[in-house]
Amino acid sequence: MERRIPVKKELYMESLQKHFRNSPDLVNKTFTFNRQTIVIHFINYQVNKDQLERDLLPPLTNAKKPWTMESLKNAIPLSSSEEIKDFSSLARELIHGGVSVYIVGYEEVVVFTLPKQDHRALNRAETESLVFGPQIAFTESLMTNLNVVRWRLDTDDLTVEKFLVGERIQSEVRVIYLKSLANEENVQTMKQRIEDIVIDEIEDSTVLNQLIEDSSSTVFPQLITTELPDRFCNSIAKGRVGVLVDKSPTAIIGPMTLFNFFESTEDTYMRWNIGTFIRMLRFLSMVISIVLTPMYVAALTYHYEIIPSSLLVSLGQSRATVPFPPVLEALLLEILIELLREAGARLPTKVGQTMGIVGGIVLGQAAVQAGFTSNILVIIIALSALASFTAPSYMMGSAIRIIRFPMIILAGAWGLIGIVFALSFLVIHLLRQKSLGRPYLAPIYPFEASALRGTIFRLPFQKNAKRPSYVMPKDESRFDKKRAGTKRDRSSP
Amino acid sequence: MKKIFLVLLLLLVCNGCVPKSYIEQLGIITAIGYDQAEEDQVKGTMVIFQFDPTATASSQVVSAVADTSKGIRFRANRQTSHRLVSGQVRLLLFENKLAEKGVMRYMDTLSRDAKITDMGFLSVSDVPTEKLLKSGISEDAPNTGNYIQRLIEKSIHQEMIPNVELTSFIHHYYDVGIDPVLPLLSTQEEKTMIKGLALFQNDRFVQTLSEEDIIFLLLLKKDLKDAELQLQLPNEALQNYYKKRSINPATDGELHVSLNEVETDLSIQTKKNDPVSPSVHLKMEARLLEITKDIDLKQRKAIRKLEDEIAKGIEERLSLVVNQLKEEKVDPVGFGKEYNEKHRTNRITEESWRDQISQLDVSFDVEVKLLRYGISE
Repeated sequence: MERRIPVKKELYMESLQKHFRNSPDLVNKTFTFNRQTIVIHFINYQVNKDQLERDLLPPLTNAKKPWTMESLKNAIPLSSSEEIKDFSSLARELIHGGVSVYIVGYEEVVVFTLPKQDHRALNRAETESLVFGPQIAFTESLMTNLNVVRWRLDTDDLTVEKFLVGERIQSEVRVIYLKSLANEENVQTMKQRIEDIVIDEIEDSTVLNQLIEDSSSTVFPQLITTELPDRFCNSIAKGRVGVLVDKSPTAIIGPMTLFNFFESTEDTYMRWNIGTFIRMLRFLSMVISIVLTPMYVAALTYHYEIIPSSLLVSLGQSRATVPFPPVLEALLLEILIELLREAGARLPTKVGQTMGIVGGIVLGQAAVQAGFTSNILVIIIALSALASFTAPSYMMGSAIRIIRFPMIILAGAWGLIGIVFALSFLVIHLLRQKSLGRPYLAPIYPFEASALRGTIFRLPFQKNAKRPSYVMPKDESRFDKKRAGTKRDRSSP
Repeated sequence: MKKIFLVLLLLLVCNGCVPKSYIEQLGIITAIGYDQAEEDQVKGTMVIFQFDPTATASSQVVSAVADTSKGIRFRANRQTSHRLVSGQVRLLLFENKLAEKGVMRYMDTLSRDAKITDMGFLSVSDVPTEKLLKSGISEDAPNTGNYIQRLIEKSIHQEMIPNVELTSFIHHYYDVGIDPVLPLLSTQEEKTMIKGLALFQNDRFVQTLSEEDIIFLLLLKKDLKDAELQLQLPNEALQNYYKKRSINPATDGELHVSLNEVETDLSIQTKKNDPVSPSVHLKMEARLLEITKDIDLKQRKAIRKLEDEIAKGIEERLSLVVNQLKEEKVDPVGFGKEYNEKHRTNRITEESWRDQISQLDVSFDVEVKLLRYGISE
């Protein structure tokens, strides 16, 4: 229901004061000149005062003849001027850094937006740190982020659509994709899911991510959250759909597959053979991280036959004084590692460094010497913890650390049978997952050999002229493979 | 949801039914020796790992007398606080007296017990196995059983003895026309060594093949990849090729040659309806490592002559070995098996072959090629 702006000056000022509940921050100034009374309102800290005093007040007060609505809008050298008739939208504009100019006798108000926003400058990436390649990370400001994205994706094909999410406190959300490339269905799914959200407020883009994910019961993330503009833009250039949320430095990209979570942008910047090696290392470390500790528990509880005889003596001797069964021992140490990680993350950086020493040397060494755990298990646990930290996605790393616990318990209860059961369960679970309705385990299932060269391996770019087909881009061909493969200077005999 | 709870409940409840074997509570047997005891009983000696972080010796040896091989373990369980398990048995020893009576009654349980690996090694010992396993000398291995296992493993790998895993023994035992062999162990100043090869008639140990002859049996048994071979040749065989100005006069002393990197290609031909006269064709490539006389190796002819002499020498030794086999009526080479594989008429049987072995008339044709010999000035 629209509420009209009062025509009487006293009523106008009173109703604004009342709307802001006599806030001391609502500044009003009344100017009278040229036989005309002008009232301006703004919120003290929301307005860029320098600009206000330089660009708005001098032309306003130095006028030779009385102001009209038209002249106010056109003669003041500010780009953002708006005529507002509705009282509640006036109030909203004031919150967003507007300066309202009210001429007594008019039914409308002209609002100039001179917002002041303090936010940090573009900075180096912290959570997804890179050795080389572009270093900047997104900030909390949506405008800055959009600016970076526009700058990186220099094409008018880039489509940005605006949404508002939240019933009580609204957040601005932008869906970003390449019109000529992104699959219509993916874009629609993303847009529809954002539109369908029913919630009072979203705290951050990670919350939005959880709201639009396909399955909320799984531990595996289905959409990638990243703070790296290069990763975000590369994905969009492959035909994926991206989402930016105001006030959040993390962007969301989809659809994704399990294997995308083990890709780092650095693989792309490295030479292809080194990139492939590092990517393989990450897959290996995932397997190590999941399987190694349960294998230890299973072998020492049930299957002493499978232990290599050269390892048997050292294993047995290290276990001889441990008072717990292997499953408890392993769980204890796993929890210890999790405690260390959590404590290290919560503590201030300066104190955090001592955590490593306390945990690694004091606790580890003392636990072994006291006969609390076997030193071989300490190695295994440390190795699998280390392996889980190699996942480039923090979400995926956490997921892998979590699924280790049921694996260890199953290994302790059923031995190798338990491990196989857990692994089968895991595979079935992953097969059922979807990301924006697209299969999560592609290109392994549904199998597509040509997509392997960009996902699991990292072949030279000349050899990989296709965009990943499981993203279903409108155009799969990246470039002409034949022309890309030849270098003119070398082709002449 | 109901299903998941059911699975979890099942997991929790059934957990108690799975027998647990915590490694530190086990006495893990790594080697078993069987000796002849009185009144048809067997005495078993077991080397078990003992996990004590303070003790220097990480294993102990226990013995028990019983009627069956599983009975031994049962009896020996009374001598240790650990539960004896046989999942890590890698070595099985038989005393020669026991082996002469036949080892199959012990093999049966070993091959049927799924916990015991089929890749474990078998051996015969001409001293009581208890003495062998209790002798303290084990080099860097944790115990004597482990030492013997490594010794045999290395010997097989270096092609010094044939494969003596449990599976190949059983295989050769049940195959018609081939007999199993096992290494014969002995002690020399308390230390275990391979003394020769025990030849078996079915499952009975009948005769020993001396250590020098093992390689010649191996030549007949399989294609070698990288073996070593020592051979004595007639003293004057190469007298035309002695170096003119030799530093040491080469006229006296015996002529020995030492070959390594021996690679052979064996083919045994059998004639139809005639299982007892196979012909062996052996192609050998080798490197001349050592020769005790000063031969002028630069002469092409000298090498040809040397190759011929080596071939002749090998043929002689091969026929000596086969003669020994004929005397004992054993066929570890598998001449009978070879015939049965090729021909469908007049096939040999388990019973008939034993008598036919002594009629064997094997012809040999050995080709030797020296690939590298080196030249000294």
